[in-house]
Amino acid sequence: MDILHNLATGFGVVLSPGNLFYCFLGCLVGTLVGVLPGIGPLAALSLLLPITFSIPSVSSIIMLCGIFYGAMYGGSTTSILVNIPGEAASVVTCMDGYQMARKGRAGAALGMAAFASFIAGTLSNVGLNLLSPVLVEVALKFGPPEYFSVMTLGFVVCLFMVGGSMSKALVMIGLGLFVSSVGMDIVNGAERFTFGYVNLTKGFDLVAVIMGMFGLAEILLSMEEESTRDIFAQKIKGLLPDLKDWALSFWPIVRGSALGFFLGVLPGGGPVTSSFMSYAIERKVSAHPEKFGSGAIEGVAGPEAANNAAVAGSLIPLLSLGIPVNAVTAILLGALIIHGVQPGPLLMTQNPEIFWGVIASMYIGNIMLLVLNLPLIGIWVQFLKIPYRILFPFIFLMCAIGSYTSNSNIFDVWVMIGFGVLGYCLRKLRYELAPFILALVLGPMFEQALRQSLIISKADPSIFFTRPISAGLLALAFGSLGWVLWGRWKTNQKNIAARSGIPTELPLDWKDGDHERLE
Amino acid sequence: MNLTGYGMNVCEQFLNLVWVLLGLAVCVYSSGLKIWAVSKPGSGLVPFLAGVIIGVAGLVRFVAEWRADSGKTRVSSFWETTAYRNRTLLVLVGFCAMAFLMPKTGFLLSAIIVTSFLLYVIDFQNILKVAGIAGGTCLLVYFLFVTLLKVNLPRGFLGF
Repeated sequence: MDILHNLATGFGVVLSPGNLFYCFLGCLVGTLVGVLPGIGPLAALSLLLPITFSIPSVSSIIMLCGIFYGAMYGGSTTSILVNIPGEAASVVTCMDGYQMARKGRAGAALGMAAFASFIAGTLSNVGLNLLSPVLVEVALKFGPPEYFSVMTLGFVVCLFMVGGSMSKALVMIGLGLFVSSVGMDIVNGAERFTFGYVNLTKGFDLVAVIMGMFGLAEILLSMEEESTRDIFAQKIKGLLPDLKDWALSFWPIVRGSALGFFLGVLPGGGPVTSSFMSYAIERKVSAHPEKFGSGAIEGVAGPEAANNAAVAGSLIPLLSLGIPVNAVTAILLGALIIHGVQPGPLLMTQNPEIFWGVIASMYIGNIMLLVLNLPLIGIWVQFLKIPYRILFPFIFLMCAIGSYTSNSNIFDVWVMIGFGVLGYCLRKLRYELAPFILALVLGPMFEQALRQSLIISKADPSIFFTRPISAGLLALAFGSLGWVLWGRWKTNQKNIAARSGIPTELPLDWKDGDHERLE
Repeated sequence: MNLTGYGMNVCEQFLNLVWVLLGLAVCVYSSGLKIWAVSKPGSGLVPFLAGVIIGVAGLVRFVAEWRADSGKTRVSSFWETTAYRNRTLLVLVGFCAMAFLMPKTGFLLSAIIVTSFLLYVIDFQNILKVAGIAGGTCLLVYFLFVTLLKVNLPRGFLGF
C-alpha cells in the first residue's frame, strides 16, 4: 500500500503542467535523438545538460530521463527504415527490421518495435517500483566499506561488460580516477595536480569534461562520415501488427523485458548489452533460427523490449544506491549533483518528489512515446532527411555554450576542447569511454568511502573483509573477474593449440602412457 | 606533416607509452602528497592507485601490442583521407577560435563568424546559404539561452 501511496505522490508531481511539459519535451527530444543517426542519448544528454540549469531539479531529471528512454524508442525507426542504427542499442534491430521493410512490412516492424518498447518499458517500471524501495532498505545498512565494495564491484564488472579490450577499459578507469582527483582534496583541503593554477582548484568541471568527451568528440568523428542515407521510400502502412505477429512476438517481448531489466541493474550493463543478448537468445530458442537476419519479427520485438527494459533497470542502482551502472546514468548522476540532489538511499525520504516523480513520469512518458512513435511516424521519417550540415552549427554552439555556462568561465571551454581531442583520439583507437565517465563520476565517492573506511578501522584494510556485505561484494567482484580471466586464458590456450595442431581434449580411449603417441 | 601516413598501430603504441609515462608521473607526484599518514590514508592514496592502474595497464598493452606487431608493418591510417583530416582539424581550429574570441567579441558575433567559416570550408560553397544557416542558428541559440533561459553569455565590445 505504501508503494501505491508513494506512486500517487509521484503522479501528483508529474501531472503538474510544468512537469508534464518537460516530460513531453524529453520524450520528443529523445525520439529525435534516437531517429537521427550520429547523436546518441549520451551525446544528447551531455549537450542538453546546461539547459537544465535554470529549471527545477525534478523537472530537469524527468526531462533527462525522457531523453534516455525516448532515444530507445526512436532508434528503431532509423534501424528499420535506413538500416543505420539511430543509437547503439538499435544496432541489432537493423538485422531483421530493415529486411522486413524491404519485404514491404516496414509498418509491422515499426509497430511491433513501438509496442514491444511500450510493454517492456511499462513492465520494467513496475519492477523499478517494487525493487527500488527494497534496495533502499538494504542500502540504509550500508556504511563506507560497503559503498567502497559496491563501487569496486561496479568497476570490475564494467571491465568485462563494456566489450572490447579489458586492458583499455582498465586504463580508462585509472584515467577517470586520476582526473576526478585533480583539485582540492575532499578530506584535508590539500591541492592535487593544480600546479598553482587557480582554475584547477575546484577540479575539472564535470559538464565540460562530459561535453568534450561526448559532444565535441562526436562532432570530430562525424567529419569522417559521408552522409549518404538510403531512406526507405515507400508509404508506411499497417502499423498495427496482426495476430500472427503478436503470437510470434509475445515470448520474445516477455524474455526481452526480463533480460533487459536484470542486465540493466548490473554495473556495465544497459540497453546495448541487453539488446544484443536478447537477439542471441531469441535466435537460439527459435524453431527457425535460419529466419533471423532475413526479416523475423522476433528479432525486432525481443531486442527492442530488452533495450527499453534496461533503462528502468539501470535507474534502480542510481536512485537507490546513488551508483551509476553505465555512462548515461553517470551523466544523470552528474545532473542530480549539479542540482544539489544527492542520489542514494536517503533520496526516497529526503526528496520523495524526485524519486517517485521520476518513476511516475516514466509511466506517462511511455504512453507519450507510443503516441509520438506510431501516428507521427511520417514526421520522424522526414527528420531523417535533415542533412548533418543543418545540425552541425547547433551542436557546435551547444558544446561551446554548455561548457561555458556551468561556471561562466572561459577556462571550461578550453577544458572541453582538451577533453574533446582526448575523447576523439581514444574513440578512434577503439577505447570505450563508459569506464572513464563511470570512474570520473564515482571517483570522489570512491575516494571518500575508501578513506572513511580506513579512518574508521585505524588504517586496517581488513575492515573490507570482516563486514559480511562488504566481503560478499568483494568476493563477487574478484570471483567474477577471476572467472572471466580464466575463461579468456582457456580460450587463448585453445587457440594456440589449434594453431600448433595439438589436441586440446584427450580422446575417449586415452590410456596412461599414451602421451608418447603425441611425440 | 602528413598525419594520415601514421598507422593506427604506431598511434596505439604511442598512446600506450603515454599511459606508462603518465602513470609513472602520477605515482611520483602522489608520493609527494603522502600516500599514507601514521594511522590514516593520505591525500595521495587514490591518485597513486590511479597512477598504478594507468601505468601497469599501459605497460601490459605496450608489451602485448609489441609482441603482436613484431614482424608486421603499418596497418590502416589514423585518418583515411586528407579531406577527413583537414575537416577534423578545421573544426578544432573553429572551437579554439570560438574560445579565444568569445570573451573579446561576445558570444553572438564570435558564433556567427566561426560557424559561417566552418560551414563554408567544410560543406557549403554558397555564401548566402552559409550566412543564412549560421546566422539563423546563432540567433536561435542566443534567443533560447539568453532570452528564454536567462543564461549569461559573454558580451563583447558591442554589448551582446
